[in-house]
Amino acid sequence: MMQSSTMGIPKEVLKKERRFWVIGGCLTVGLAASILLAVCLGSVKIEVAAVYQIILHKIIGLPLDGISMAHADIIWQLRMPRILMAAVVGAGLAMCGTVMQASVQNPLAEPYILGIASGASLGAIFAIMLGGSKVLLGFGITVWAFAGAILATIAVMFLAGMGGQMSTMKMVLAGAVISALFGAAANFLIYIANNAEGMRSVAFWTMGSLAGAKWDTLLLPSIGVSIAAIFFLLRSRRLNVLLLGEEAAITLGINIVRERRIYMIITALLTGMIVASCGIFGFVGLVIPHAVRSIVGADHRRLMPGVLLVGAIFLIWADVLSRILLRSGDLPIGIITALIGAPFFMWLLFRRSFNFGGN
Amino acid sequence: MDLTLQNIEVTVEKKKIIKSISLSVGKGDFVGIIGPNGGGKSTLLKAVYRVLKPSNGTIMFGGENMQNISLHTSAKQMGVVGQFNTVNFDFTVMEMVLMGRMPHKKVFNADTQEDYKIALQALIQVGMQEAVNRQFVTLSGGEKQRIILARALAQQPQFLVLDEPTNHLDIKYQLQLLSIVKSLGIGALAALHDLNLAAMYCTKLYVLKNGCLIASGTPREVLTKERIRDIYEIDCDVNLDEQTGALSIVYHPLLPLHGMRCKDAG
Repeated sequence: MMQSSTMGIPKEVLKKERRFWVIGGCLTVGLAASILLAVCLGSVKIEVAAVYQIILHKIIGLPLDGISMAHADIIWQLRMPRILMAAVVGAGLAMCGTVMQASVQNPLAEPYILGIASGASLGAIFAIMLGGSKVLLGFGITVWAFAGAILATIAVMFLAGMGGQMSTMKMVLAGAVISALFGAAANFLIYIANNAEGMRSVAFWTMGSLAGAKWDTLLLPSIGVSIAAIFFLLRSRRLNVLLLGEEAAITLGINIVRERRIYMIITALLTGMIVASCGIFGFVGLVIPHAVRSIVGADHRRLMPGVLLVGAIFLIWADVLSRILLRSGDLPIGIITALIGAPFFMWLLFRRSFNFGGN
Repeated sequence: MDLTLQNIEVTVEKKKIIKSISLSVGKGDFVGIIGPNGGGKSTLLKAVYRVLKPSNGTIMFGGENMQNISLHTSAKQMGVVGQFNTVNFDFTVMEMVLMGRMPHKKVFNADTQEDYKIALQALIQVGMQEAVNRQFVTLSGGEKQRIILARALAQQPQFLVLDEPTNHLDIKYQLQLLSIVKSLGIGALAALHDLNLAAMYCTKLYVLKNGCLIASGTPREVLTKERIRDIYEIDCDVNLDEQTGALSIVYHPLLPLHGMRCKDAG
């Protein structure tokens, strides 16, 4: 029991703190190990020793003797950027989900709740269907998807702001409305374009894939996720207060309207960027925050680092599965994240010790 | 700290809920607002703790116009126990109370030994020190209310605003909560339902009905038989309790109870 007379930091709190550092350490090691293991796995068998020789060659310039250039390219030009992209995207989506849940004070919130996915889909479908398989107006699918995501977010913010104060409930509802609207528009495009090949690439795109990851496409999301991660890590205490609701936040000195708007714009930009570069995968942004919360608690100072690490690890392994499960090629990663995520979410829901969505 | 409201009006969705209200709470005063449901008590308090913006009038807090005080600054001085205590996420009691330290923190500051000390002291004051590690969501309504008070105490405020703080509390904790507030000796403004408690603790009472101030003064001046009938449309007897020196209000039932008759019900 706690000794009320000692009047310092209670023992349980210190214990929790220690436990957090242990968990954090394990996860960091886990992330490094995941990257090093995942790079050895793939449809082309490459010796483990050769894999690391190639990596060391690229990083510190060790000689490459007796290793084929084709293998070196597979490791360094295909697998490595793809694994790092998985880590960045996983961390980013999980972080965006956590921030969204705090911003709208709803445990069921996820990065796509403000219609971002439907907006990005519409943009991508627009580009694919009307621009052939190449480009439209000189922009790639990525740019169109990003523009769609931003358009959807602006529409949601506008809709939620109509008729006075912007409440979180209005925002969630506006997100649903915009999703439905943009979804209909996207389906309409698919229907009138009647383009079988385009339909296939739309399907592939909406199910998400990291196959397109290259060193240069990795750059922008990495920078975005890193900056946002630093920003939100420093704002952990405010995120905690946001979870208490509008009134409590104001009485604790937080200008919640401004704060929430900033967070939503950042998450929308980041999610838009992620969706534009790898398509849509569900459940990462919803399940990872809850999974980590069930281990370290709701305090964002512990939650946020945990979410970033677990999100990265989770998506690395989901991507490994997507690469090796089918002999014929990649399985869309969205299918895998949903297949793992949905049952896991059910398990979290029905576990009695974790109070999940309040009463 | 002291608080003065001058001709405050609050409009919510084009409806004027508060109509030109002026009141003042001096340093160390415990001021109560009473009145029927829907009379505007909570709305007025929300304007005071800055969730609603008055459409007219000025609020002076500690001699300064509230409009010119940042939210961050006012949160260092004003603690609030409101009616908004549903939280959908798992926080421990300690984490909840520590959030009261938020206004005193900068971006890079971690929780210090001092913060824990203050939080623990607040928990001891409300008699919840055994619950430090429990999950807030698992507490009963009354326990939650006490934790919220502890959080407000951890803010180390110079002024407290309380919106029906005794809701959900059993009688012991109703008395305890109000005694704590009183013992702080800082200014306090509270919406209260229980007239006996209001009479016992408040130095001054304001009566709010339909958004208008209809009476104010000391409990003895305000709480008369006639006025209570005016405010609540009920009958009662008001006596001075010899033992405690406090007012004691005994209500008459609206419908005759068995074996007892109300004089007016005839």
